Amino acid sequence: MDSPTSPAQFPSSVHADSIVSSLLSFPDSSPISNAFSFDGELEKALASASDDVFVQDSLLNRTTQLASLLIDSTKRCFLKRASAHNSNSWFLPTELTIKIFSKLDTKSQMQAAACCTMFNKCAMDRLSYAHIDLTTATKQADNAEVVCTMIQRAGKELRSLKLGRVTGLDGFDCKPYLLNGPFISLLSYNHGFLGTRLRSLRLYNIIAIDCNILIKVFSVCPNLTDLRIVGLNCQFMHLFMTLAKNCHLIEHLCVGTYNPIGRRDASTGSHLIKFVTKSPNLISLTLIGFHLTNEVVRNLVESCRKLKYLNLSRSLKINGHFLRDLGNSCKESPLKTLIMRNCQKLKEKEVLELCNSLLKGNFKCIRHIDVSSNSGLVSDDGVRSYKPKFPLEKLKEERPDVTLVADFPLERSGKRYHVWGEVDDEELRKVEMMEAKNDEEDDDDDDEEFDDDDDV
Amino acid sequence: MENEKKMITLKSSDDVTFEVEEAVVLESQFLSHLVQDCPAPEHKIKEVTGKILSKVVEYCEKHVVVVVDGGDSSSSSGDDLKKWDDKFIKEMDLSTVYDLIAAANYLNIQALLDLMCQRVADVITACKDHKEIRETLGIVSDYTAEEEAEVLKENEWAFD
Repeated sequence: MDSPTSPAQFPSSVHADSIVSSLLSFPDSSPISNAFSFDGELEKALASASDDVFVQDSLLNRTTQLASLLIDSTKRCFLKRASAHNSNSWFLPTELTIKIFSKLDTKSQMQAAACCTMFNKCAMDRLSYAHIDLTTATKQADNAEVVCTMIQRAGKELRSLKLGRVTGLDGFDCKPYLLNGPFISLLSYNHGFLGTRLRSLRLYNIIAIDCNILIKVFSVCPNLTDLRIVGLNCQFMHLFMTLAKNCHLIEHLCVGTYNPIGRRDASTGSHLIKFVTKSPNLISLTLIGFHLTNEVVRNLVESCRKLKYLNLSRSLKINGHFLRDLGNSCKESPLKTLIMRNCQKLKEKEVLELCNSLLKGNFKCIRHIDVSSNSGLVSDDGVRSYKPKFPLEKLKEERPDVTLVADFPLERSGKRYHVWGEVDDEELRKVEMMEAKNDEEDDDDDDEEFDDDDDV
Repeated sequence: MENEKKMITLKSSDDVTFEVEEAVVLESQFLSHLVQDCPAPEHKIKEVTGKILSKVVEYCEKHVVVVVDGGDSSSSSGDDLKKWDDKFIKEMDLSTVYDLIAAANYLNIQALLDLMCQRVADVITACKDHKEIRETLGIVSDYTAEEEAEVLKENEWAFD
């Protein structure tokens, strides 16, 4: 055995090699007997080395050190093999892995990042954060901080933000988000470097958000093309006013509310029309649960020449009369989809008129109409009609390109209507569902009076 | 488009041949350049096996037909195509999906690449935590205990 007197001497690699291989060739007996022989050999080595206690101590220390180095080495070996195994079973190159990760909601992305070092590296790439979606995260306590961290990770690649809870008020037991100062200052920092990159913003049921915050957000995000706000309870007049002022590139707008503030509605309507006229790119408009009047809706559609998709589900006031005027004025309009689900005041007669209008060749581009409702339509004598008679056969013959969906009570049998794609349809359906539940409660609290008390 | 359709033969790395219409080839950026640049009747694609190339051809054939027939005038054709896509990816095992991603990337077929990446993303999303993702994708941890603890702590909100 080597003399321990020269521990500083660096072992040649051949030397180390032979030591490790002789260790590995150690007989494969039980751990207890191996331990026993180690004990014995160590005693012997100590005795033959020196009688000096100090020397023996340092020899023991050195042994411990070497043994732990060997353990570390073994661990590294394990990790290396694990990495090799991973790149074997996941052989896609980094850029494709990032592409996949960019399609994940942010929670899943973080979980993927925790799988292995390769995934972690990919999940930290800016591009993986281009579309931040925190709607699936169940822990929301300090999410304002999380949102900011994620935005910082995205940096210049930031394109879309999706926050809150799509499923809404049921079981909304966690603390609501606070989109407050840090969030806004992050987006507006450096002349709105990050905010101007944002194209899509979706906020779901964020209770603590108020109009002042939204106004600030919109003023730093002028390039939004897709905006969806669900479950916001504020004065929409201000919202549309700010949008009309700041965001002129919007193509898709969806606003859904549970408790619209009815009394302010007449002015909301005029601001909405102002917004629409200032948004030449608008192709899809969804306003769920609003107190819009027939007049406002007619105006809206006539002011948006590119509109392809209109969803007015759960509108509380419209009876459908506006459709008569639109039949003439929008004969050539590109409107493709019209959804009016759960519209309490929608009249059977007006839908019938719409059918006749279609038969006459109006609404040339329309493909899909949905007037389904859980509570039927309003019939001529004022009662609820659950089996209205529409000339469906004739419609099929003369306008085979049009699908009229009229389910009473509304069945959600997987009927599809296209907005932006599959996921959106599912989300919208959820939004409509939630609202359908609330329908009974506030059925009759709004009569046909339009208040004009505008407090700008 | 009444004149005779031009046919092109594609040959995989393992010498399986596929005879397809030119329109099908045009779905792939890479192949359309290839066909333009060298007008040979047969093109060998060394990077893609017969098994995967057959899937690629199947996908492109389906998509090319629909676009020609329906344009964007009928939304039902879009729906049908979507259903076809769903079925196309449903029965596929993950290793085929990976191979198709690599092939779609190489041949530059964006729609197929997106479809396949989405499929993997869906698999990951369906897992409840990182351990299940590892199991599903056949990945093992190569973190040290400390590193792993740190990663978990850093994004603590993402773990229930």
